[in-house]
Amino acid sequence: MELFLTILFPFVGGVLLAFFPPNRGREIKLFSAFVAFSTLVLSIVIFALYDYREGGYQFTESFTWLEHPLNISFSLGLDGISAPMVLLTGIVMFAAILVSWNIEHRPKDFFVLLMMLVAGVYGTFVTRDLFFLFFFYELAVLPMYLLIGVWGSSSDFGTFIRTKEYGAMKLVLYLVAGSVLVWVSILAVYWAASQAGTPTFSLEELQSVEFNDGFKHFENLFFPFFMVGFGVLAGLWPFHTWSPDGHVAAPTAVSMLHAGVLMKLGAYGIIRVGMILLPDGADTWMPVLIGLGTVNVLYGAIAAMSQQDLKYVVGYSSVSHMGYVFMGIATLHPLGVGGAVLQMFSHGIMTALFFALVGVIYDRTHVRDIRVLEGLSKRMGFTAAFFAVAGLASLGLPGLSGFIAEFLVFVGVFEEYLPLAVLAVIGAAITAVYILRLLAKVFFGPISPRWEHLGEASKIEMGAIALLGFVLLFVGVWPLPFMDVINAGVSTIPGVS
Amino acid sequence: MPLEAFQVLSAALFCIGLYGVLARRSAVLILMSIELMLNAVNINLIAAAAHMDQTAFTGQIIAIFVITVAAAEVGLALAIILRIFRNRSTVNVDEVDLMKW
Amino acid sequence: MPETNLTSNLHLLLPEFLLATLAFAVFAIDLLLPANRKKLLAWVSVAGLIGLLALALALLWGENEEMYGGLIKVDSYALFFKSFFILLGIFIILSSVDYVGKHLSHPGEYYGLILFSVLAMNVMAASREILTAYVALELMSFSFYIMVSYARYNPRSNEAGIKYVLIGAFSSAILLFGISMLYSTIGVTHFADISATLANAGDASPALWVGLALILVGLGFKVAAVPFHMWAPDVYQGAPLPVTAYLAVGSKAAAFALMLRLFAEAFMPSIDDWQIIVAIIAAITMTVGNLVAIAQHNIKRLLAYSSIGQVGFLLVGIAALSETSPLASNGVMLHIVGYSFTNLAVFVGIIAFFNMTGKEEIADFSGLADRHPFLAAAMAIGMFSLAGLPFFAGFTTKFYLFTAAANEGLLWLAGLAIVNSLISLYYYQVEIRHMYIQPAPDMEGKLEPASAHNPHPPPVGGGAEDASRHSPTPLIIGVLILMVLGTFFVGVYPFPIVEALDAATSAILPGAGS
Repeated sequence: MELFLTILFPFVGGVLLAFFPPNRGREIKLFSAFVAFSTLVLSIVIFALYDYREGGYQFTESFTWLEHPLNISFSLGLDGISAPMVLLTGIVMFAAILVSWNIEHRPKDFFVLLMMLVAGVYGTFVTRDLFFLFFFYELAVLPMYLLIGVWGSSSDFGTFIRTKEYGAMKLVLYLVAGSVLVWVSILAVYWAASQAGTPTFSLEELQSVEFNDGFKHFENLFFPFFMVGFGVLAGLWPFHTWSPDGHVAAPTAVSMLHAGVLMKLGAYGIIRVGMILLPDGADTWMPVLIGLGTVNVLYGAIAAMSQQDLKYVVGYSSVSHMGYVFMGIATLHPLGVGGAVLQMFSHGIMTALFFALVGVIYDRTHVRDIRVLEGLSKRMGFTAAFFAVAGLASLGLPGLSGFIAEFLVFVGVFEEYLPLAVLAVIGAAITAVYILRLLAKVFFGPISPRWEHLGEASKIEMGAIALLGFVLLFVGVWPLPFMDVINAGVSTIPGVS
Repeated sequence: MPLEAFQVLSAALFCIGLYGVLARRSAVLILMSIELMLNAVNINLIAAAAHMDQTAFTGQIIAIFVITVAAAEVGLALAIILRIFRNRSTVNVDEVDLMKW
Repeated sequence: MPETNLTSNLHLLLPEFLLATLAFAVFAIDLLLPANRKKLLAWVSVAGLIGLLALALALLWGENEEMYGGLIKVDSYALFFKSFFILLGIFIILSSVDYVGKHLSHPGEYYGLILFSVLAMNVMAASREILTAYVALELMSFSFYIMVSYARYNPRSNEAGIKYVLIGAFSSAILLFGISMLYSTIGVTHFADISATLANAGDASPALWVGLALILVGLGFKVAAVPFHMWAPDVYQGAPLPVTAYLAVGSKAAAFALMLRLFAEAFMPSIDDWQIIVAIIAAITMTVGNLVAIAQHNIKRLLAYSSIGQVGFLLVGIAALSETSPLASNGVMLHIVGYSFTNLAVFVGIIAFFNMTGKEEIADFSGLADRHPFLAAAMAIGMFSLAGLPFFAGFTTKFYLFTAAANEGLLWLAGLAIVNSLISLYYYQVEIRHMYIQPAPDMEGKLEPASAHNPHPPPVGGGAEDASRHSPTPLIIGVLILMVLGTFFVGVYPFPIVEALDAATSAILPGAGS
């Protein structure tokens, strides 16, 4: 029941919100925060109760949805890979609701859509059925167009303008195009399983199907569909271009949820569906994935270095950091894959913190151009301090979560693909360059007179920021509980050794 | 006479009607061409019925239904054509072109 | 032909007899009512239909009997579609009430024709003989010819009427010629006999294939499959709005009810010959429909092309029919049900909007979310569902249908259909952008009385200004809520419907028991 509740809380919350009178903004926000907090508590409890010594799926439950011959059941379960993701979703969601306190335009619609988004994300992480995984996966994409289109912001590049409608449409069409590939290969998997005499969408039952028996090269043929289809959502190069545009156009909370949690859905999909169902295909294609992941790391870092818009810097740094996730997954080495999962968690928190801080700054300055923003730490000390924390986690400073995750990925890559490990380290170095430059210029330089009267973040925003920063620190200092759980999950993936 | 002869006759008539539908621009003439096609159907049906089973009259029955339905169809279509003519003083289907993609 | 007592089980046709009676009664009551009381006709029709639905369910549940020597069969398939069409008739009448009162004269015949078309649809789903099916099809088409041209003084409605009747008669002629070829080569018209003949035919004569091909072409015209679709956009745009909705949902559903039974019961043995043809037609239909829809500016034309795309999806299901698996047949019917709720949600929203403003261009919907949040939300839900996003009917029904196609080895077709869903998402989002993101146009356009380019000027003397001009009436909101709930229900919990579909499928495909 616990896992069902993680979907039900935001879903029912959203439905109830729809009946609030639209002009009661304060009540709507309070209720949303209440729902988000309950969900967060629930997520923490679930994560804490997951018994890593036992491993496997826990909190399982199952209801038949459609009978033979489709055999779809609404079955839930949590394993070592999804447990940190559930926790991540709870944390980021609560923080995102808190930083949305300044939404004044149609607040009801905004929070309803946000709740639906989160319900979709939880659903994807806790389901054990391929149909429902895809169902919730699509559900998480559904509200994005409106969330970005209505509440987003356009960016002016002087010579041209990237409108929010453009960003929203691009994001949605890219993501749905990715899910076209996923959908086709889900149908193929069902077809093959049906030919093999076990028509089902249950992930566990599909896991025991030998797909290559009926059709030679089935796994080699369809693994790239999953890899690219889910990879689009995870920002896989060269299908990442929706990510900076979409994240910049989105309102703060949506950027946080999208970069922090939704991109992880993509990586999660590659592991949960691609690697677990089609291990032979994964084995064949992993060299390609690690190549693309390396490009992700370097390309994202270099692109981030050349951006003038604060939010684009963060957007491209997401692309870069997701590269480590791909690399870690592609090593098929327990340390690498474990590192990738931890990186998913760590990057989710970190990038949510980044976007929250950028949102706070933009709300007060109405500018995101780093040529104009100077010396903000004099007026926004709290914000600057946590921007430094996020930045240092991003460049992999020991003691913060990014270090552990990236270190594990490096070790995995080092074991399997030595030259690429060097490139990955170079990527980390480039990250250090642009992060430190950014910190020096925007926060710790001499203050520009234009920002003399800037105010600090509000109490509520500080709460959200502090929460995220604390988690970064906690994981960095004491990663053991996370690694235990993650290792319990990674050890069950076939082909990882 | 062999059944094929009737089938060929019927097909020829059908094609003449088809040509008329495609080539004529007056709604009334198109309707007449459609009638021609339906008559081809009737010839085919009755010839086949006469050749095949002498006990059941399926072909003839279908033909009677076709005649009835066709009569109703013409009545309905002419009413609508009249309506067009009253409103627009033309029954040329090329000139009835308020809506185009 | 089996010897049967023709009168022993006539009571099973009681719903049809009563439906015809009801239609004539509506015509008759119309003559007695004063002009300002015509709304009563709608309530009589709805009450009658509800009674008939209850009667049909009570009388026919679990029946499986042939009558008139096998011309008509009352089985679970027929009962499923009977209930579906009666419900559809109820919803169409309810959503027409405001519109008819404002924009159309002669409401009596309007409601009567809807009842006749429901009758025709019921027979289409039940007939197991090709002439019976044809006559029912014509009864439905005739009702639609009149309803499409119902706005007598509106040139667009006239134009739609003449296009529809000419194309309809033309396609009937083709269909009939196909039937005559079929009859003249194999000499039988019952579905079961056709099936038996085809099973033994082996190498059949070319004349038979010409006949089958022409039947396919004729039906293709009726459902607006590409390349026989060119009439659909014009007819959809010109017809009065509720008729367009009915055309998009009802005539499609009925034609597919007929096709499904025809292909499953009569043509199944030669599936290897027609499967690829139907699959190709399906592929072309959905691709053309969805691509051309992108370019549309009129919401009715947009929905016309989108419904052509949906026909392509349904044809995917026909191509994937199988003697051993119920998936494709279930999928077609499930998609019909989901698509009906969804499309009606969109159309009822448009009807409500049109009743208020008299406009139907896509750009006119700008800022709707600010003025009428519920209307905008309902239409957005409908469009997301049409595009196949989850929580809504569209996702579940498409998933079911495409799984069926993949399961028969038509993975390429399923893949193409999924790509088409993506294309359709684009143009639905453009419409949603107008409703949610574009600011409202200046307010004067909204209050301006019927302007010159308004295609439906109010009838003379009947256009009493009332409050419904600025907000939707409770009736139409009620229908809209029902449609949205239906969309959610099919999307989230299709289990009970699929149970009913399993029973329906087992009636037409006895070997596909699940």
